Amino acid sequence: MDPAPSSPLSPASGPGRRSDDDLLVRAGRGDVEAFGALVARHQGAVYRYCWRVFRNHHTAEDLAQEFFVKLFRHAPRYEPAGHFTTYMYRILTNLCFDALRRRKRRKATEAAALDPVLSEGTDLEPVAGDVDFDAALRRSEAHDVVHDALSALPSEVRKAVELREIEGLSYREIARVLDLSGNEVKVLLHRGRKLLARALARTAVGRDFGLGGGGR
Amino acid sequence: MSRSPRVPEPVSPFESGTWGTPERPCPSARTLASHLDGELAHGAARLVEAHLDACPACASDARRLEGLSHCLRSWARTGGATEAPPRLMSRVLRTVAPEGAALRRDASRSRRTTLLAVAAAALAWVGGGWLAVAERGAASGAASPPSSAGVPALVTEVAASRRPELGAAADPGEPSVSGELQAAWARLERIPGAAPMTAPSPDGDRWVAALLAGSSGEPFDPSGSARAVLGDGATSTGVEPTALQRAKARWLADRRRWLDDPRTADPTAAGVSVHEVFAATTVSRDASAVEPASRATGGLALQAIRAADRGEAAREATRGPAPYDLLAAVSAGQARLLPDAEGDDGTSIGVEVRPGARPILLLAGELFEGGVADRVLAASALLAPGPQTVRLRTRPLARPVGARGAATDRRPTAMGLVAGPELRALLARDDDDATLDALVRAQVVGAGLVGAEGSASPGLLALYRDDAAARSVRARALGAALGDDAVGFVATDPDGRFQGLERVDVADPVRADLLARLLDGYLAEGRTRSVGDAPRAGLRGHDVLAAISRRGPRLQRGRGLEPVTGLLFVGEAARSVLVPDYDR
Repeated sequence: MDPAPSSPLSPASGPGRRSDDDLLVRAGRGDVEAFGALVARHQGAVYRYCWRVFRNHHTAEDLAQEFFVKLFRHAPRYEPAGHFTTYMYRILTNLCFDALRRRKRRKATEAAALDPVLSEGTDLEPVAGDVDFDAALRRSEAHDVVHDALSALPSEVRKAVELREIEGLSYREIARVLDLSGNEVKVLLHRGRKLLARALARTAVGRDFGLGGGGR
Repeated sequence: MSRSPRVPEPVSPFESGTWGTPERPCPSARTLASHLDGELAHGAARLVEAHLDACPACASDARRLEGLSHCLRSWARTGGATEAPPRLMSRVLRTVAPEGAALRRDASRSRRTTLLAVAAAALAWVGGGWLAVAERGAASGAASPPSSAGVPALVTEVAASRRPELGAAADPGEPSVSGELQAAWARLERIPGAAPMTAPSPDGDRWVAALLAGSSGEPFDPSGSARAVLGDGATSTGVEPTALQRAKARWLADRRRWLDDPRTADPTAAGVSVHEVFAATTVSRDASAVEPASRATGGLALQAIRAADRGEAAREATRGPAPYDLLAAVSAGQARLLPDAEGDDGTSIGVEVRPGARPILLLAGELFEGGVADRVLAASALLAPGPQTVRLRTRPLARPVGARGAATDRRPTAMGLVAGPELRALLARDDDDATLDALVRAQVVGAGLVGAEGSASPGLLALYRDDAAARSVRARALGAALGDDAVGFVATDPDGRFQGLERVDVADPVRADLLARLLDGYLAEGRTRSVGDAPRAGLRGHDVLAAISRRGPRLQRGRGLEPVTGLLFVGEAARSVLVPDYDR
């Protein structure tokens, strides 16, 4: 585990580069160009986050769009305090996990055969001619295993784990995003890692990453 | 889990959950994780490091945690989502651009008000000071307190001079019906016999039913010149175009009768839809959507009617929610452009309409950028709110070079707001009338719908004739002439050449009456074609609308007046469930 990976959304730096705070404040005054710069800066991270939650490109794109529109609408009320990262992730996690909750609820009530949710993650991607299909399959299975393990976590736990392990947020930032204390974040992370390690230990991908066997 | 024997550690002063004691020789799993996450203070981290060097069990736990971390990051890195799709940016900007414009307007108003307040305060202060000096000289020497009474009065007056826009969003980006409109709606619900739209989709069904009543039931030919735009329901019920056109004619006649005298006619007997009538009279949102597009082409500044007819309860009572423009509807979640709806030929787009409170008005010429090709909507459409999926004809304008969706995403333009550079360049050329007509029809909203045979208005074309400088001057002059309280006319000779621009104020009844007679004069003499705008202030605006509606047949014969601005254009669009497909 690398100590505190650099946040993909760390405040902007460098000469001539406006900070995220500044761009969002300008957007709040109707400066669409500034907002465009903000979108350009963060669209990759936002899209990837949405994709990871849903594993569906269409849903991820729709949600990413919804997120940015929401961000724009909140912009007039945004108070710049250098916390853009946490502000952004707060909106993003709420948006994605609310959508996920709605989807799960719908999934529970609809017939499985008719549920479009079941087609998630089956987007047909173009493959090159010399692709190693076995390796692709193994990769795909591995992705499914990890995704399933993450999906099985309680949502707050999953949010904390993803914000830390994938988005690289510090404990303090996670606490701000999830509106929790630092200790609560530690508890969530501990619980999440324990559950994940247990779920993955029995799988090939878990063994590849040295998760086989027990742990505390 | 099999664990190696723990190595005792000295008591750590850095942890609240103390470890390093004989009872608890190892750091907790949470402490270990905090250390690996780089969250421990330097001293505590050093102690944990030292412990890991000496304790194989904890080192193993640490490796496992690191393995989990690598596993998750590897999954995130190679999981298939690499970059955001290129169209995401354009989709976002298209959605927020109108709201950004609204925010800028608000900010500008607010600045103006503040400046006025400051100016007024300064005046009051100077005036107060002057008075105080004067009074000191004239009276017994008792000091007057500085007067500031004028400041709030002035500010209030400035604020009050802003007329409310019915149907406009109270909060940018949150389309909603204004309080005034809501009050009108409440009144409607109290009128016996009125049928307020409570459930959106049945209303759409009613429209379709009204259209199809008395139809021949012959098979519908989608290649015909008329096209139902309400939805799949209308196009799949097996009605051939002429029957639909007959139904439409009856339907429009009913509505014209009602518009002529709404006080005596029963709207429900005429089958008048509540929001449809509102759409014909209050279109500020739509106008704000189309105005910049028009401006970008150097064309008309479209003006909308603002429903200021507050004194007329009967008319107010007929108002329903103003229609959304497409962007507002998408923002509000009432509509969605289908991602897979764009055919490779770029001739149609799919719109999914969801249940909601307001219909959606799409104007012919509305620009859709991005995707396979930049396109404009081929015909106006008023979509009833309710669950339905509609395919709308579009005309490709410029096919981007390169891969699907690749070219236009780099342009920070917004749908419905800015015409592409190619089009603007084309419009700047001096072309023959046919080419010009096609260009104008493609880009200047309103031009395609009003003319008798679906052609652009000669009055409008006159604006574009001659050299570029003249066009620009005329467009600016027309824009300046049309305001909240005025209508404008472009006078042309019998050959359609530009003759002059006239402006009539209609802020008061006398002038409005003059306007009505002027309209009659124009019609009688038949020598002038006009580009007219609706008055937006006072009760007379509605009268002008009614007067022009009465003259509909004459307008459609292409004689006399040809208003092509928001007034009749939107009025016609709103009243037409079936619109002529002028892309013949």
